[in-house]
Amino acid sequence: MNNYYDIDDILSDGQKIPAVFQLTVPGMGYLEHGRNTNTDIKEGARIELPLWMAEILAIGGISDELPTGFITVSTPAPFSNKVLNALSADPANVDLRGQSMQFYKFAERWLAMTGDDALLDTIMDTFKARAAIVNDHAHNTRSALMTDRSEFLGTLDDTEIKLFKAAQEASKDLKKWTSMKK
Amino acid sequence: MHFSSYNLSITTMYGDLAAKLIQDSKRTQSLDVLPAYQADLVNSIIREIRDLQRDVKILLDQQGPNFRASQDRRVSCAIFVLQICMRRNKRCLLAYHKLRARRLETLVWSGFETASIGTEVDSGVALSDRPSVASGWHPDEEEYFRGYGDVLAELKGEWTDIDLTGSMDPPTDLFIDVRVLKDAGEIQTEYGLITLTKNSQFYVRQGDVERLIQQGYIQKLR
Repeated sequence: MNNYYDIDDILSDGQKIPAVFQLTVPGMGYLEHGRNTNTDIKEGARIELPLWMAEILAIGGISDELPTGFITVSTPAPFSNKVLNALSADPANVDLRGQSMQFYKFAERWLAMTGDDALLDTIMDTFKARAAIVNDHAHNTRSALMTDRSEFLGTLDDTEIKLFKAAQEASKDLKKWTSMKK
Repeated sequence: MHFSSYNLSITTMYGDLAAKLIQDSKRTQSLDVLPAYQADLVNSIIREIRDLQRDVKILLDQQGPNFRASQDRRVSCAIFVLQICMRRNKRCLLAYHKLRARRLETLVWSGFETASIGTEVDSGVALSDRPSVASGWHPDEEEYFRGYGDVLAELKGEWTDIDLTGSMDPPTDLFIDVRVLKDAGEIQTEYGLITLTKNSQFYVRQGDVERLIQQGYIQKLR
């Protein structure tokens, strides 16, 4: 699913996940502190690395002496238990965009790396519940379901925004078609 | 182990510059006009790749000619990371340029006129008033645009009875009312010469003016 040239895929690769280094690497202090440092990264150092780096380091370094790879990764904040509980309780009320601008794409990448079924189920249910509300907002300017429309729309992640725009376009096209004279 | 020092004050981390370029690409996707080519950013990213390359070379030189990745995990990790950064920059550069190239191709198909590149053409209308002006393009992009246009012209030439870049909407009337949006000079119709000055309206044959509608010079009135 990771199209090399796709801009959204590239953006989602920029998401950061927490990683722990499994070995001491000299001279790579720039990962922690920026480009002008020549310090080492100690074994056990916790750093937030972007997916494009973390994914390869986690898989690529696997060897007999280092069965875990160069780093191990842990659950990023958007998929923490706290967020998941909030999502199972009331998916419409969670600020998805605040968790991650590309929540669903990020979830796809994380799930591909870890295969966590429980997480998958929660996110699928969240998507379905929210999609229904998004669709409702797209078709009506005043939704009966929710009083503060702009607040909800501000919590949509990029995928949901695309959904919203598509639904709006479809709604507009339908109205145009049904009112065509000739 | 010593790395050369870097001078970029703007960003601290490898790949940050590339991220900026991708932000620009994302923005471009939702704009109608192609924004200016980010020559400085692109050059900085290329410089970053060269710096990374230099560091990899330093590391490898220190290890000697028979270095195997399994010999020293720590060094191979360091090289690995530098490699990944280079790959990331490369990917962002390629995606940026590909997006723009695709956009240029779309412009060619839509009949975009670039007669105004580099020269002040016609009635003294300010360039900023004409959204069809190609501003901020890299010279290579202009050349790509021209070259692609030539290829397309050759393709169109194979079928003379159909205009491959013509309008996709079926015509509803033979003659239509139009308003002129920008000065477009004069056109020859079978009923004589018409001078297109801004804000004038005409009742003309659709076929004659279709090209100009596509290019944005005149607007069809309902």
